[in-house]
Amino acid sequence: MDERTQGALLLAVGGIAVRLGVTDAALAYVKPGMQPLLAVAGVFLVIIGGLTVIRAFRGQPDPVDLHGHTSDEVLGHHAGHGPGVAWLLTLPLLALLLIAPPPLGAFAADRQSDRPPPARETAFGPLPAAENGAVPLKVTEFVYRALYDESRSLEGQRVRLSGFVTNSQEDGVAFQLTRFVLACCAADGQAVNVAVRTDQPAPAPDTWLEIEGTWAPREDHEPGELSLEPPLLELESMRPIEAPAQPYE
Amino acid sequence: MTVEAPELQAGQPGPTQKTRELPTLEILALLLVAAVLLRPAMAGFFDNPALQMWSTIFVSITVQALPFLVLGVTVSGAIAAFVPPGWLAKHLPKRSILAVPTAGLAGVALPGCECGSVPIAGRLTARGASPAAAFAFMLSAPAINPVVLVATAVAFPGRPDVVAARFVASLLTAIVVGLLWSKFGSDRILDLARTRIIEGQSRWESFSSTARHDFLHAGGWLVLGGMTAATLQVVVPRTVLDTIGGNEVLAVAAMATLAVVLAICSEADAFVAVGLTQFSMTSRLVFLVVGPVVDIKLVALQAGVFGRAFALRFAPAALVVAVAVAVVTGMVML
Repeated sequence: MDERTQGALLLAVGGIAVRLGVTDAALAYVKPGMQPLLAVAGVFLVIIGGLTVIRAFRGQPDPVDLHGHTSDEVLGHHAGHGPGVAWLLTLPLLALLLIAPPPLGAFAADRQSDRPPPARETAFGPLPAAENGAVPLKVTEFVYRALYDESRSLEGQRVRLSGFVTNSQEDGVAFQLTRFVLACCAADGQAVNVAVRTDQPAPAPDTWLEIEGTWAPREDHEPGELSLEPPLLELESMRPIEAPAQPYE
Repeated sequence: MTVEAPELQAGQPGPTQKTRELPTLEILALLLVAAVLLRPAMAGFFDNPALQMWSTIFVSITVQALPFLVLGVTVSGAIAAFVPPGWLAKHLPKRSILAVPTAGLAGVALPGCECGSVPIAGRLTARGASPAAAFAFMLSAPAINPVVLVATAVAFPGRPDVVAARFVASLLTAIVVGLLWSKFGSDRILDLARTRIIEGQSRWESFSSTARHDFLHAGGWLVLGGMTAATLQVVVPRTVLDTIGGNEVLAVAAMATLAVVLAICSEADAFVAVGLTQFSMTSRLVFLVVGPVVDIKLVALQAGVFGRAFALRFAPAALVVAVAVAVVTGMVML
């Protein structure tokens, strides 16, 4: 890879990083807090890449020759495969341009077990106030309260959740409402599920829904105990919604 | 670090360079333009959900690691430009038993990735530091510097014990390997004539060219690591991963092998470890400790800087020590 190409590649990578830093596209892959860092890193790469291109086109000598020509003796095979390795950087660019990978969805959730996350050691505060007749909750918040809140704060409460549809293997459950939770980035996304009971036909997997319903305690599970199954929700209403800009919780 | 080159050719354009040159810029431009133009035509081509999940995970690992990689190469560029080569050698104790742990700890102060620390170690020995101390520095610097520790903390939020375990295990590995070398190693097999330094560059040039070179190399290896982690998650059946992940011995062996084969830069490897969700924390610690110490790219680099005879002895010993230290540390701290 010659110097002009190195510069152009840095410009391209930097440009994409800036774009991810300032648009919602990044939210399919990383947490929102990463966006400013991506923008700054992108600007740095654009500057280095731009200067490299300018210098290469002016015909100034390249102090570091990635062909392994001047560094063969020192770097051994390293220099030999160096340029080849740099070409791999085009792959994430092509993936973003061609595939535009979507946020993790039903396919990825199906590859994980339906087991709910283990209890967090946090006390549960009071539920937020109801809006338009239902308490708006995150899917994870609903799951934690349903499974681990010994004071049963969800009892008899109409709640509103949003997530996407995944299949359920369980008898009497029409579908699951799922959200992914990220610790670091999409690579460690953990699916969190709510088992939805209803007589209505289940929407297609990956459909985004806003649903309202009430918690249905499982007979074989006492809140606070470790649970191997997602909590149940008795559906009262559902409506399809646009996929949110921030797909993860 | 990339400022080494034989003195004769330093700063000159290579005379034989033109003969095998491909029109790489044109290829790159064509590739990217084609991708943009073809996208509407190829809509529906990439709807396969497994491919989409694979690309989501692959892209997320690269995107998440990118700012840390940039931070790392900024620092390695700054060191190439502003730190005089003899500085560290001058400040080390002369006796190995003191110099090795001191040099190991000094790794904290040198943010950069492993590709940078091998030539630095070469330069240190060339300037008179004891090889054992230089090796301790070479092994610890890429693993315990602040950039890597912050990246690890970001990758494992709420798990400061992982950061601490990584620090302890990597530092111990570096010191043990350094002391083993001072006791049993033979400095005669080192080929120190190989390390030379480019002179006569402006600071800005040496900064920007080091940063550019390190980014392109480390970035390429990071992409390879991201692709492997994504493939493991999407292609390998979950039952197979669960079997390997469920058996601690298999898991440790698998993670050590992966670290050697993947050769991911230490600033980015924590984000790949994050994607290896089926494996226990201890086996992932093995991945994080082995990676900066031994991998295929490092062995090639070490052979280049210190000679082949050295690399063939040093790498297996370092691998054994790293795995053992990481397993013990993991059992105690995680």
